[in-house]
Amino acid sequence: MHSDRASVPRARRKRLRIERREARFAFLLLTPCLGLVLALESFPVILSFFLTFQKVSLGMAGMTFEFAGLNNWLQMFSDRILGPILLRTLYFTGLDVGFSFLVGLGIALVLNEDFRGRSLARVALILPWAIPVVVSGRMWSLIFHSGFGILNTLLIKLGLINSGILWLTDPHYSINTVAFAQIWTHFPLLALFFLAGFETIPQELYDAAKIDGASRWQRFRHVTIPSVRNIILMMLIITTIASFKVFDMIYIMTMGYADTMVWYFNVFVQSFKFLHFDYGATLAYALFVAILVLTAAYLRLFPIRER
Amino acid sequence: MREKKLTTSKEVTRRDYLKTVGVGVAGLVVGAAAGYLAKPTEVITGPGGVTTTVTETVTTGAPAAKKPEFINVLTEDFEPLSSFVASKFKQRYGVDVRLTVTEFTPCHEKEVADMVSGAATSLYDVACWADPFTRTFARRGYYEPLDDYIAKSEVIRLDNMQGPWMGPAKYQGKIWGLPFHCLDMQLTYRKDLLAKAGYDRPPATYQEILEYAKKLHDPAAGVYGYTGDWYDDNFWYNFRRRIFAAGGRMFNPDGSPAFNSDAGERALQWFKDMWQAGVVFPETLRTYSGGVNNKVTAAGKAALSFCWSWANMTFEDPKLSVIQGKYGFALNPYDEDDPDKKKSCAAPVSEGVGGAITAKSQNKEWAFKFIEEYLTYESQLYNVTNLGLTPVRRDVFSDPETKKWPIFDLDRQQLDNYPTDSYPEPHSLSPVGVDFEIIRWNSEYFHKAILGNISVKEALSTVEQLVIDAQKKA
Repeated sequence: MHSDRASVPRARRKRLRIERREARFAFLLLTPCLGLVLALESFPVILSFFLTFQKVSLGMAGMTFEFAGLNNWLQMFSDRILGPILLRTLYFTGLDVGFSFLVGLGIALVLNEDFRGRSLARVALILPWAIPVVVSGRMWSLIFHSGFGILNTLLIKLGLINSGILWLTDPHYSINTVAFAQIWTHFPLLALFFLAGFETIPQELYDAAKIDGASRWQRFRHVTIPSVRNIILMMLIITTIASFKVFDMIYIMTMGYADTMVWYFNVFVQSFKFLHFDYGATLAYALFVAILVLTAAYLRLFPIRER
Repeated sequence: MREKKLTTSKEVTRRDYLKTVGVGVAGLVVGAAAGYLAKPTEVITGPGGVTTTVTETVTTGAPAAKKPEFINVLTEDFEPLSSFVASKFKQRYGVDVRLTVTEFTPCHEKEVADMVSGAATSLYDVACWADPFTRTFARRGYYEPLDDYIAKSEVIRLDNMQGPWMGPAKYQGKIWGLPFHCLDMQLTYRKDLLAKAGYDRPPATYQEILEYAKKLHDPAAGVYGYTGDWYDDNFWYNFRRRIFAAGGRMFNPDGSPAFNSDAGERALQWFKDMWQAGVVFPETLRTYSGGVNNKVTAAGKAALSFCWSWANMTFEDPKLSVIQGKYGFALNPYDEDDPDKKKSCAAPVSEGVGGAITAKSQNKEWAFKFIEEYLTYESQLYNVTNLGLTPVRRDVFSDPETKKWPIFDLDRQQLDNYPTDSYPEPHSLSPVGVDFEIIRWNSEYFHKAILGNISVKEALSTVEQLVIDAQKKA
């Protein structure tokens, strides 16, 4: 008995030792790959942060740097175009996140019901998200074409307008038009996640609520929403970040003209059009800080809860 | 029991692994060190006075260079022309040409990426050159000055070169790019519609264009009075042409903005009046490409337009055009308010698209030979006969093949009358190289004025202020 008891910890120690060695070896195998990923990820992050405190000159030797202190950061406050760009970015993000959520949630609720062709509808749902943005951007540009676009033609034929609306040229419409196209590409992903969340809610919860006399709306509010709360929060964060970082749709549809220049697009224009890599990097970091603050605020307001 | 040997499923021992990684790392270190030591570092002073360190020897082309297997060329030019020139070049010298043909904006982005890479050699031997590129790239040493090459050339004679391209191509007294053809625009009109409306001549002034466009506009027939390309840099070119005609200028000799003036106001007001009259094809404000504008004209959707010279081939092609035989072209108009009644002028992009040699090219002499190939009599005539592009060589204008197309004689007149020499500054772009800022703000805010969202005066002042800000930063 005694010898048996003594041999157990020894065997366990031996096993632990072997496991540790295996873990070390596994880590060793992963080190080059991790190192490479870390270097590739961290290099641009560190370099762009460094750029925010430099005056960058471009020449044959690539970039040359001169310490500029906080000049780039201070320039943001005197930049006369930045105020309107900030407001436009917030407006665009609000539209995109708000409508993507509403539409995504609505579609997910419909697709959660039992009806003929539900599987087909679920597959079709993914299409707008699966289509490359270049294609969907071009497609919407054609639909909103002021001269030959389907939308204007239809509205004129219906007698609702006399002449084509400048969907992508007139600053009154253009940001909303681009936001519409962006929502179209965003909502399927949200709907898909909501749908996945809905399917994990036990039917018993709905049955119990029904017995308690809960109406359809009350079941939705007190059973469905709390059950997918964490998914909502994660999707809120992801969609907000994606909206702040909108680039491709604007590049394709308006190139940032007609009051559609948002913050992230301005980073591109400043860096790669005007060749102000220092100021572009500063704007990118300012956006990063804003997203960080917003994400923290989301998490504080709606902390993730254990189910 | 003996401890199990620690191995992976493929029997790679820890020792094997470490040996492999160690050899790999050592190889990388040795390779990098050898590469670094093999290239002598040399400090050179760029044309903008910027001292840079490069790992190559910069030559100016005197010694005969070793024939390369191929050269790399980045061009915005028309693919058929570039392919033609590349095949001629291959025939003549036995050197392959690897062509990258893309649009204006991607060309600029590719050159920026190549320039800032800091690599010892450039990706391209010949890079695309256009007027806003000169200051951006020559100032930073990305381009090679061409004067010495031109002086030795048996093909290129500057006195035989048509058009005002040299101003925009020059920086600090040197030439940095050569055009492959002249790009200019003419007033294009529908002869049949003008006759129907009782006009026996095309409009001669900008004021007449507005008057004609109102009368020719026919929504029932699907014909707009006017179509244009008022977007991004094309709007900039349109505005420049208009302000020149109004007797104004874009910049003062000291480089400060001059467009916020009476002439500038008259010019911008004309665009606004045209737009507000409701006679302009609506996509005009979104049409970056002259090609789209020409397609609208070819489709018979517009009565008046400013079209690029090369579009005339399209208009004569029955497969591509419904206005074959119905269109005419005229000298660009002048402004009734211009006290001097200046001669009409071509689009200020008349230098056309061309080529520059990258300073880090390893094949500079061959790169220049390739640029020369564009400027041979044969290639220039090919421009005319196959592509409708206005030649840049004066002697080609006298060729019987060129004379078959009256449009080229008109082009020659316009180019001769181009008012470059009337102004003290060599060209109308900003002397400190903030061209892309100017192009963007010009298009952005002037559009707002055209749409009536802000006043003409406010648009001019705002853009002026933004340009001053950009110049200060530069």
